[in-house]
Amino acid sequence: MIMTTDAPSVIELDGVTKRYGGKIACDAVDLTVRQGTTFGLLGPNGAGKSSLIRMLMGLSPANSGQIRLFGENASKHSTALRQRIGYVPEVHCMYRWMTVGEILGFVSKLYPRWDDDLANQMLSTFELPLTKKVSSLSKGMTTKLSLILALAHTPDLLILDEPTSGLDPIFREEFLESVLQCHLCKGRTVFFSSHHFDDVERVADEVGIFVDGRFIARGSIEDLRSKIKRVQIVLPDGKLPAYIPEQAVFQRLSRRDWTVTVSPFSEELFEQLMSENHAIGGNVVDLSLEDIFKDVIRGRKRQLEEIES
Amino acid sequence: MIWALIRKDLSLLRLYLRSLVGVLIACFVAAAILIFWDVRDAGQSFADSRFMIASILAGGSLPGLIVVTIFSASLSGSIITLERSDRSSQFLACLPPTRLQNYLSKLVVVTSAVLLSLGICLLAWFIAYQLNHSGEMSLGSSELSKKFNETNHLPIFTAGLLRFADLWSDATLYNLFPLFAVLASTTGASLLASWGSRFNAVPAIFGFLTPIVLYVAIMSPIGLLKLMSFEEAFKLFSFVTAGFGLCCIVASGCIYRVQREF
Repeated sequence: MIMTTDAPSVIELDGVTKRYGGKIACDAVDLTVRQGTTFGLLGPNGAGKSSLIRMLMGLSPANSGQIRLFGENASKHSTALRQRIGYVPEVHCMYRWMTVGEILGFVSKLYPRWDDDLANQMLSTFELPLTKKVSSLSKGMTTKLSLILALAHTPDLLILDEPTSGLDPIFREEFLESVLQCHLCKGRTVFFSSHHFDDVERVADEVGIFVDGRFIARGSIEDLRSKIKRVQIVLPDGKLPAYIPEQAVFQRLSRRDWTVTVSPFSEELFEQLMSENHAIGGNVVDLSLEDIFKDVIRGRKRQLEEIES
Repeated sequence: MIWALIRKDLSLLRLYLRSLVGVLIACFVAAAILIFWDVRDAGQSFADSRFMIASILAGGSLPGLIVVTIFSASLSGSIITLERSDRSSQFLACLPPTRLQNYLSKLVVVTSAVLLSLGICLLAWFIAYQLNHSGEMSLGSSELSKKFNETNHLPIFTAGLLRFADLWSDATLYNLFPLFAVLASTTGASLLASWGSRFNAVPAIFGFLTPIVLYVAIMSPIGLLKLMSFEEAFKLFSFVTAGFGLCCIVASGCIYRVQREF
């Protein structure tokens, strides 16, 4: 996987805002995804991930801000730009009356870089029958067909909107294997949203946690793990935490055990927490991506509840 | 790329196009049955294959013209709404063709289907006229009357259809203009109405009613106030209808091009 700061940016979002009536789906989002990066977009339901992806694909306009793909204004959606993008949506809206063969035939004529060998190889791997109608395919099979349509034209950017949601583990495994084999090894850019942390951990170089239309944490998985840590402190009997740092993302108190997730973490902060709270004991716990996500979301939720009350 | 889109749009409308072909064939078959039934007692002179073929062709083309008008509204009303109703328009929107190319492909498919079926009806009408006027005897009004006297039985349908075939002599391109105007208005109005509905019945009905409403709206006040002759009023109706249809086609294309939400 290639990821350097010198690589040209493939996706650039500059203050992108999307509103549906009074509800803000994306709130002044800034993002740069460089060539060769696999960016995993994590967020709870209703966070605005699909809105963001729909704007990237030109299916929905931004109310303000700019979206550039390969340096080109994405709102223009030129043919040449679209020929460089592969897209697997969360909800598949393919022509249901076409057969697998017909839809492959139709789509292949729209892309000059369509690779018949790759398409045939994926068809046989996925055991997709050419004569079967799209309407009679299962969700998993439809997702696989969607992936073939997205990958067989060898796109420079692959956008996946929760592609593995609703798929059983075997399907998910096959799907990710295909993405890894066909795409990642060739150093192309992938932007994908998912609910599955293990999927994200497996393929993503960079992760963004998207909540209420904003990125509340972003960086490489290693960065996030080194930046966000959980500190477990044992407080003296009858004492409440005296010092809660502004870096605290989420905290939980159970008798004498106080657990606080901090971002950014530093050894100095740990020492300060220990000394200012007169801790009897304490330790630092490395978090998995899932734990980071949960703590960040819970902390955000609690913060909003406090503001509301 | 455009050919792939055209092939896709032809497949999208395949049921409607097959129905159009089927109904057009049915028109000619029904005309043939009617003519055979009509001439069975009319004596040998009416059983002349030349007159019978002419009558069948005229008998198929007359309802065929009405069928083409209905189908022009139906095809135009369906080509956009079918993709919107099953949300395959979202799939199409993510593919490389521009919106203009998508719209042009739809317009080409609808226009070609309408013009081709119209051409078949006009050709049948023209051949009916030619057959009726070829050979030693033409079946003009006087000939029909003579035969009526000979046989004491006038095959009304056959006679009527041969008179209709005779109308081709007036059917120069100029005289066919109202027909094209009506088809332009049904097509345009249906395409435009497609943006307000996810179901194809609504735009199809809207398109079919448009020339009727325009006819009533233009001809009624002119007739009541005697502002101009019928011919002049009909000419005005034709131009307004054609203009309205073309404006609707352009407006629908503009909406397709600038629409932002799928």
